Amino acid sequence: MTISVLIPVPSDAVRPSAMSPRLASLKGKVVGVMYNAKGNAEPMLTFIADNLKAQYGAEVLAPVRTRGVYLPDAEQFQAMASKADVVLVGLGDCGSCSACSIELAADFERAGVPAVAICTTPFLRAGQAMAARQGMPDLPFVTLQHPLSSLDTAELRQRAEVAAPQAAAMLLASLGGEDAALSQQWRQSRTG
Amino acid sequence: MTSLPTATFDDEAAAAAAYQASEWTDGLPVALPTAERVQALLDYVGRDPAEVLLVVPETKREVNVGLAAVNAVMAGCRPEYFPVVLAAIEGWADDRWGFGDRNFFYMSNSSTGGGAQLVLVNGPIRHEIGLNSGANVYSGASPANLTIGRALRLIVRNVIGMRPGVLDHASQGHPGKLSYTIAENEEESPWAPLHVERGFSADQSTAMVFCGRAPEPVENRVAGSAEAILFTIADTMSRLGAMLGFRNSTMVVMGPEHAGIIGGKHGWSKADVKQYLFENFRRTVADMARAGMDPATLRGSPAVVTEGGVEWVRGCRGPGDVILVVAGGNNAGVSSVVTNWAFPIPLGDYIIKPIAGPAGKAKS
Repeated sequence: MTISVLIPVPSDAVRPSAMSPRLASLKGKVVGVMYNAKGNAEPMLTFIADNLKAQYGAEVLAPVRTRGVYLPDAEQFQAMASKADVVLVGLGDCGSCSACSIELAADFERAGVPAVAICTTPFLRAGQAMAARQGMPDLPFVTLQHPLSSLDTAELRQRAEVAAPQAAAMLLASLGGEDAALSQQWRQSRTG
Repeated sequence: MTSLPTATFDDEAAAAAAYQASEWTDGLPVALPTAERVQALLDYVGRDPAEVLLVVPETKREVNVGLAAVNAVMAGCRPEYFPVVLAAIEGWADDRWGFGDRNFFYMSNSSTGGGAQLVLVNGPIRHEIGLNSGANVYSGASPANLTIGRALRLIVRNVIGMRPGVLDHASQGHPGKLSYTIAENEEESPWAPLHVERGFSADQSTAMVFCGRAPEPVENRVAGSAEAILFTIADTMSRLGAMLGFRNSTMVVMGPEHAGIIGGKHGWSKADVKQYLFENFRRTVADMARAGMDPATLRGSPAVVTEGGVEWVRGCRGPGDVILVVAGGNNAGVSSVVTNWAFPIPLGDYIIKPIAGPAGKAKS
């Protein structure tokens, strides 16, 4: 005999949400840094922004700490969205902050500002699940080797060098032309 | 009847297999939520299945009465248990839980810290539905405790979408994530029960919600003085592994034997006990620094006080952060401490919701 049963999950598809158009180049573009309460969030994001400046010729705003634990208030969000051409947000190195960082990046994207969340590898699935719930399943984000909260300054700077090209690739329409040349020049100066 | 979508299967085995395959269960078998079984819960409470109880903006999900009932049936709840489930969800939605950006309910369920949603029940419904408040209070020794807690867990998983490994990233979690519902042993307490302390009448049943880490045992069968027992409890509250994470509101679930010695034999009031525990819930800055905390950062916090030349970090803001209840068997000097995880609330505010009685009655 057949049995009919009720479905225990909501049938709520989220409305697809468009990402902001990517930039043609980072040179001279203003990078905003919005960091949360996680340990090492400020230096990690600041070092990545410094790399975007050194490698791609971007300008960097003074970093802003979210008034909420992981999220800014409306005033902070508007101020950042009006000043920055791109925003770095994070850290996402835990279960709740990873998803909240993706949520914040999606909010910036909806406001017309390309944004990259800086997360760590254990939270790839959390980030992807949150991006899907935000209606932006393809929103890219940086995943760095975990952990970050116990690293010293030198170790954080090394991670930033890895993260910056990833972030740049996510912010640009294509990583070529002047950006690629500048980055190449920077790398040669480092090894030389 | 609810307008919730249904699925039809060839037989019960096929339906059960589909629920497992869809990851709609906690791994244990569930009662299949037929329309008739779900309707029995809805009829008992007399509430609109479309009524929204909780909105979770992070996952863009809402918990309504109907979906709560479906998951409660799956967990094995009888209709008379359902009002407790609803009161707990109303507690989760309370906006005192958080500070500034939003309610922390989502955060508490997604966090690596691995807190679980504890519910403490007071009032006459404990006896009416057979909630255990005595021996084995945490052990799932009664169907009511076990299935109410499980229903809430399935709602977090299915309705809010906090599946382990996807949006729930607890590093270790704890067994309370399967079910974490207890009741106060009001009959063997020397003090007013929690809900009466907070202004409810004794005959009003209530549910208090708390995002708790695992219960930590406090065993002291030798002490005869209030101070000795309370010093032991404060020591457990002050352990480094909890102090380095979230602090402030902390549950002390005192066993009736300890409570009888402290409140009965020695006549300490609840306020006396909370004051003592507040003063002794602390750790030295030196210990915190030894565990890796930056002393300079600590010293910038109002939690640091100097006493007799020693710098201490207080574990909570005031006696109001100590949530003192009595539960367990009156058979040994055993109590427990439940520290919070991602549960910031204003000092002295506990999140307690009245439990409604059956449809047509004011109280349970």
